[in-house]
Amino acid sequence: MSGLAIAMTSFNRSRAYLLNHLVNNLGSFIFGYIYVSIWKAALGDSPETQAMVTYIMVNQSILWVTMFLSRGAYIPQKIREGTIVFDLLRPYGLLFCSFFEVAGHGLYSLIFRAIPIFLLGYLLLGVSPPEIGRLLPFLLTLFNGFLISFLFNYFVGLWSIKFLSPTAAQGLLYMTMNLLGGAFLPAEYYPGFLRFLMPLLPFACANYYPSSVYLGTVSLIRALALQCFWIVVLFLLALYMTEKLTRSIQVQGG
Amino acid sequence: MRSVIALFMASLKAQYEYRLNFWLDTLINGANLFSDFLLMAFLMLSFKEIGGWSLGEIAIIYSIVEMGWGIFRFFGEGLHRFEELMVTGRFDLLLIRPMNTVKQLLLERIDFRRLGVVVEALAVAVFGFTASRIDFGDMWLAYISLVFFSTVMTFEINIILAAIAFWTVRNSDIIVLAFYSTRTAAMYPAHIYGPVLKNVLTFIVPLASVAYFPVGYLTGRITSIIALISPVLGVTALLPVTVLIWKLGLKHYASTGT
Repeated sequence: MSGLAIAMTSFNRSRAYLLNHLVNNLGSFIFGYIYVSIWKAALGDSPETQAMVTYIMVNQSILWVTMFLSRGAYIPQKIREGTIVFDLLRPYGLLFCSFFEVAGHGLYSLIFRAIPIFLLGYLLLGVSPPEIGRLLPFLLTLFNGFLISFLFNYFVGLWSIKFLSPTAAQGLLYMTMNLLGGAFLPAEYYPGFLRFLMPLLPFACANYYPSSVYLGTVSLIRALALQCFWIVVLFLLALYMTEKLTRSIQVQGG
Repeated sequence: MRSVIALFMASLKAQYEYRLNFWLDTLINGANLFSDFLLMAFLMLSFKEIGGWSLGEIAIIYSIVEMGWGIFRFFGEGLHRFEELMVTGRFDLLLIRPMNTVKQLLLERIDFRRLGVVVEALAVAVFGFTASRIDFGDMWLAYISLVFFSTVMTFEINIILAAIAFWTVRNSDIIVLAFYSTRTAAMYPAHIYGPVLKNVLTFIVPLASVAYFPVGYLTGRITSIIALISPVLGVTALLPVTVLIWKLGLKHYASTGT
């Protein structure tokens, strides 16, 4: 129950910036349009173009749920302001609290960011709507993608407990997610050994798998197996590191 | 001038205090933007050309826009985070000092970590000149001039966008919409876009005029001489607009208090 209450508070807090986010959505849509234009120029009038337009715009929409989550799962901000002590006083762990806080924000982003950007893509760029049979599998893999992304952001938060500034870890996460997440480039266009490596890494679980399941180019079983494997590995690592790091926490502000 | 040097040194000292973080941030700043270019390079291993332009040629326009951005962020962090000054009411402090507000903003925080972006942009340019077999010997003056215009234009656009915060207080999402997206668009050949975005890049946020048009002319893809002089036209046309909007904003400014 307490988890849901945290999520709801986080959801409502995000909603305070709705107008800002709607302006930002337009910017995000233009980014999607730029990538769509690059692909259209590359592929020309081939049958693959339509699928690629959909792939890019689905990714551009879900970026707000699978990549641009709250920086370091809100932890760096709490460290700086000193409010992390309140989280540590509560009768549940930091991981639990961070998860529901980010989940509330994630749900908000899905409704007010991902869906509007997708609708713009559907109306203006001719993105294919989801096939009924693939909608549930897509949402399932999207949720898993969110979990993976949350765990990565949580690691950035843990980094800031240790090193105080999250910027380096945050930058490194963005770079890796950008390069290996597959939001701009699906696995088959990667060169050499990266073509085989990229779909096996956890970064691909955030974008490449949900949008490929949407298009039906990757089987649901394969996507789920890989996502679940990485969720378990990263979750255990997060548990272990939380235990280790929260013992030696340094509070900056107050 | 003495105060300029003093503020410059203060920024350097403050950032160099956390050495490991400073070097990591600088490195990652450059690498982060490089990952965008790398993805483009991966794509072009399969296609060779995008809208008739090779990867090397795209690298040159990419680098011109990126370098302008890197130099802007080096000096312009105060402008870039102008919203914070508005929200906290700290802009009042700048108004009571006997120095031009824009100059103070430029010196407020010099972000040395952005040198990573400048180095990355330079590396992309070197790659571009090598891969496209354009002789850097003939082109270096043109490249440096275009980087200069790109920087000036990035400053102009960002002063205008900062000034919007005089009315709206918050402007970071407007920056995403009006600048981040157009900056990214200007890194690729503008003719691959539809007429709306192409016209925006030519006439409204005219970043195509500092990279795509002149490089298009120099590589023989665009024949009109206007393409060659478009950087001068673009930067000159934006200047009075920039000054006017900033001055109007200053007049309109009402502090939010602390």
